[in-house]
Amino acid sequence: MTRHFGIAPAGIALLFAAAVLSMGIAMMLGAELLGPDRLLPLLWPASADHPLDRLLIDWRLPRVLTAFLVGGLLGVSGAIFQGIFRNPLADPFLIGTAPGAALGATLALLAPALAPFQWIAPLQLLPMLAFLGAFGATLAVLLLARLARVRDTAGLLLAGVAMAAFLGALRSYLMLALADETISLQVVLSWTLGGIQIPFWRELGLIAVVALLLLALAYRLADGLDMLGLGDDVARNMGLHVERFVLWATLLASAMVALAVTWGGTIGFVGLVVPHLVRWPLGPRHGPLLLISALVGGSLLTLLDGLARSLLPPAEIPLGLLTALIGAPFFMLLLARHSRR
Amino acid sequence: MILTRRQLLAGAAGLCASALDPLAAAPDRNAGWPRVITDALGRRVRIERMPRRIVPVFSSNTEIVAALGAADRIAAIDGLTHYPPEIIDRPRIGNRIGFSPERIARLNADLVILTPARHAAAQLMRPMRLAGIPLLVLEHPTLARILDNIALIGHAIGNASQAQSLIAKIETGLDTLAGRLSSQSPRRVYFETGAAGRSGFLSVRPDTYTDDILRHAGGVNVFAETDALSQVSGEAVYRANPDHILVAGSQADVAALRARPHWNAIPAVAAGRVDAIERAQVLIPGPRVVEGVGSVARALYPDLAKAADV
Repeated sequence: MTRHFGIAPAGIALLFAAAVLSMGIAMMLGAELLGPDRLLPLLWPASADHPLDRLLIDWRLPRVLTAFLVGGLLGVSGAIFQGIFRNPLADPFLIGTAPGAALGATLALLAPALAPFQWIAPLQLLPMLAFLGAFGATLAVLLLARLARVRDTAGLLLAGVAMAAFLGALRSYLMLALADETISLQVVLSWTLGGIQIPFWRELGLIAVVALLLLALAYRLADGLDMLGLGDDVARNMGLHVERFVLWATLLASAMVALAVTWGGTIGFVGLVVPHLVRWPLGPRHGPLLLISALVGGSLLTLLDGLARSLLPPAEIPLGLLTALIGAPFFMLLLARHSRR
Repeated sequence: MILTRRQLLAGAAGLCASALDPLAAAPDRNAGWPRVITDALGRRVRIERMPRRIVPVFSSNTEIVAALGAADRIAAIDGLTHYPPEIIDRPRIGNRIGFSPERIARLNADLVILTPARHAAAQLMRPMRLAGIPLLVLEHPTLARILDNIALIGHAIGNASQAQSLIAKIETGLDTLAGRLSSQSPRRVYFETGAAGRSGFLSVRPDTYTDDILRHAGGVNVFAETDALSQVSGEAVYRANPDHILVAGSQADVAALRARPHWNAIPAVAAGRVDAIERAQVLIPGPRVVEGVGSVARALYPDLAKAADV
């Protein structure tokens, strides 16, 4: 097992510790900065009656945990998509998930009273439509690619780009058509810029179970992705059913993205950058790459969400804006150092 | 403060108008024409004769023209204006997807009034200049500017006296309410204008007409310092601990707010001090803002509302 991870158990333990630490730091960040002296007593669940305790438990904890899960899902799905497409530019939103989710979210935000939505509780409508939009868009891309007899992953990528343009235009049209002087498009903008949606505890439990299940299934893709990295023909010779594998991996990664986008909006850059950050020191083997991308993606997004909540109190900065604002220069710096080597 | 603004306005109007008739005594005939009006962009707009085929773009400008008693002179409106009822069957010159300069020209419009809120509106400026149709650009950022613009539109369409009486009526209403509220302590209010689901809650920005409405109704914005970004988190609302929460929207929006995870931990939510305010009353910068002030005051001071007709 150790060999398969490619790094020592101590390294893994260290990364897990860093993940827990990032969550601890994020718990202190917010409109009000709270010290560890406020946090530590919460580990003894005896007294949680002080308003600040409620603030930490009810408002911050679910948000921190959700941010970690969303970041982890984005990191892993980014690694899978880069593996499938053998393209360092691939990001989790590449094949229609982001515009699909955004289309669903736009409908939910601007037309919640539309006839077919009336039987859904307003709070559930947005996550539901965002998930359906994201996953539905991927299914549509796969279906179209199959109908068009697209065989290679490059064709799939192009079908995804076309679908993204189509869904994006549809969403823009809806935004213009549904707006009037009193309907604020700012909520749609706010959603697309990303932000952690706070789940109820029972929802968070479900998200966590599904996310862990998806991550476990994703981990089993590692060998196939390694083979695929050697080229389709070599992978076939090594016994991989390439078409079936790509389809399954795409579906799995898309489900992860759909879950992430449902609870975080369209947070850019994390899914693109995290796999590179991990690959540079550790190499391209997908076993360690997938596991560590989950931990690094989760930790990174947790910290960034903490910053989003605390840099301009009491306002919060849209998370996707911050990931790109901080992430892009940071990434360029690392890219420069990596390239010089 | 009100006097000063009026004086300023009268002075400005005096400078702008090429005719020398004082604003208040304008006879609303062709006597005072042509008029030159300086609009929000500093453009000097020449209006040859009293406009009879007015095309106001956006609800705010349409409602102001109609409230000045000139609804019958509105030749066309945009596709997303729904008020007042007597103008909703007028021809439509387009909607947010785009406005049609050709249609405005074909309708023989003699004055276009718009707000540069959207790109689609800005697109009209050049074609209107080419067609020789005067176009006024107005901005309504604050309640004071809305009143100024009522006077300005009144002057531009030859209904200055109606504008003066409308402004006086609005100011009297506000003053009367201020008198009633003077004995009350101000309420600290979180005023939400939108929500991106369960995050990205949009609070009213300070120094906007909606914030002015809140202040005139005896409320104090708990997020008065968020002038850069108006997006707040639930945690920030919980920490601000407002006396009252207002939602620009419907009862369904109030229900959705109350159902958000952990929001019942906020004392105002737990005590049921969450009210819906009709969006059109607080988010359209027109004459109905005064109704918005009344609605907000009734929500914030239910006892006062019972005692007297606020």
